[in-house]
Amino acid sequence: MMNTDRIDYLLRKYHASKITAVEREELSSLLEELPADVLIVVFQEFMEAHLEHSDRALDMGDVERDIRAILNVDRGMRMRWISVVASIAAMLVLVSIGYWMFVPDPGGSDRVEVVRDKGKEDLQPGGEGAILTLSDGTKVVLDSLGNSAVIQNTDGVRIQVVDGQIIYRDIDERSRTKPLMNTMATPKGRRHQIVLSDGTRVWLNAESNITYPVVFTAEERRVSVSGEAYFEVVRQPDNKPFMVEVSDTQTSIRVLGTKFNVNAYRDQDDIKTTLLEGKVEVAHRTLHKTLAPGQQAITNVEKENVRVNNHVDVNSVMAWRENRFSFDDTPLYIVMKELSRWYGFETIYQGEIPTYRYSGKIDKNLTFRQVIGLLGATNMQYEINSDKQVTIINN
Amino acid sequence: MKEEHSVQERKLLEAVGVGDERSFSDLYKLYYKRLYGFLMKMTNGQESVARDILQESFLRVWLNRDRLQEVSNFQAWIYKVVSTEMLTYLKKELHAKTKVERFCSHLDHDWEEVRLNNKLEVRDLRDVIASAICEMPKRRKLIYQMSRVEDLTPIEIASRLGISVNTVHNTLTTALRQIRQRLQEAGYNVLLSVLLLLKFF
Repeated sequence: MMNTDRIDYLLRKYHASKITAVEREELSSLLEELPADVLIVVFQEFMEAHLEHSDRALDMGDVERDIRAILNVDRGMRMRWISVVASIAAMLVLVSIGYWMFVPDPGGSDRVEVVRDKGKEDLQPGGEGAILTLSDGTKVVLDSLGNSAVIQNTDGVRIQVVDGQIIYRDIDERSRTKPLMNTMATPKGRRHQIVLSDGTRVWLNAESNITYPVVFTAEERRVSVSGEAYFEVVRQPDNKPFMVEVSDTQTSIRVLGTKFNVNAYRDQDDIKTTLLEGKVEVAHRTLHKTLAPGQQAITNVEKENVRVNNHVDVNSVMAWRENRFSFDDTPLYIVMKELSRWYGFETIYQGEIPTYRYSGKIDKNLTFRQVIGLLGATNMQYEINSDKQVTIINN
Repeated sequence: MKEEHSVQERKLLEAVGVGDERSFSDLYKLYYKRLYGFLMKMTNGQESVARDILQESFLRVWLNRDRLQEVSNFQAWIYKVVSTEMLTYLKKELHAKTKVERFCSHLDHDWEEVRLNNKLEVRDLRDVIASAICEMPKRRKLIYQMSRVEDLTPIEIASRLGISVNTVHNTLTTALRQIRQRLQEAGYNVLLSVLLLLKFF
């Protein structure tokens, strides 16, 4: 027992930073000599006697990273560093592209990886454009090379297209009582901006749509959306609310004057409403949640619940408006979903869906191949065919 | 430990057991706060070393999450794991320092080196674990990946696949055992020390 008392004494001196060089040497040899099981018991007793409650606010940023690294350890990612030469080559590509940011994975795995792809096919990035469906079913293609064609609607409304944007003319007073509903839809690879009759501006991401009255009635302002849309709602003098319904989900967003983003693609479980300015109320069935700027409501339609996320990365949510992809430890299949919307392809998985995850912010003006290269896909093999199908090969 | 604390901790542990990441994070931070002051003093105020020690300890918690229910007193258990990590560090640290003092008579030496040599590379483990996952039979791999990649709970996995929750639990336990086995074969002592320690309680 003599030894263990001595160890405790030496540990206490070490802990108080009062240990001498001779004592340090003694402690060192005692630690080597004693059997591990005895040592652990002695050390644990010493530790429990010296725990101190720290009231100072600790910076948790690094700790969060440590935690993420553990959680990522068994996700099944594989990382390999390729040669310095390849990294330099990658850097040169980045410099030539001019705008690229790589956000290292919180686990510290700024990974540069090998992409093995076959063939020469590439997919060009999307652009501006949308399809407008009028209340009588007429479809008008709005292209980035917009002209000033005038379309006469059977309802009497004339629509002029200027630079790919629409302007409604000759709106009949009757439309204020019986609203004429129009739908603006973006296909894959297109996005579009529209100004509603109250001055509210809406940006549609790819594969999204909004149905709105040509003129809002006196009672309410109501639109419905699916896909992803960013709203800058103009407040009205009489505080007439603006309602956004998310199609087929019994979810709505009620606002006065605010800026917010709705992400509600049908192929994902959650509807994400992110508030940038002002105030919104998200309602799902009987549930109501009010958001403050910087908060995000996550509505799960299947589970019929609404969660509020206080730590949302607004820049990442809004990256699409700045024409960027933003991924943060995002699983491959979600990355492919987002890329497929912009490059207009269909993803086919040959073998199981790989479990790789990616982080990074990348310009949407690049081609598909460039984006895949910048993401630094793991040992991912893929093939693009002429039918706009991307096959991910996982043997 | 106060009664309400242990109730809260029990709940966290249960959730960690089925792979709940948020609960793991909460548990981690709880112990970070408790141990921070002590670890800082024992590492001469090197925060990164203190963090490494805690990270290595909790890596063991995560990789043995399916067995946490076997631990009757988690606090005593994790303190034992931390003690083990701490002693490993201390031995190397003291040894290096003594050696340096013996040969050179000045105190400037590379502490960082001691730390790095001792560091369990979380990043290296990923490759070993990834290959362990690749080797799993199809069904087990699918269930494991639904849990880890899609972050689904055992109940959600069970309902998606139309199998019982128990089957999901058993499969996840088998998957984790397989991972620990591979880590042990690769020379990472994740399994052994924990199993030995479990016997104490």
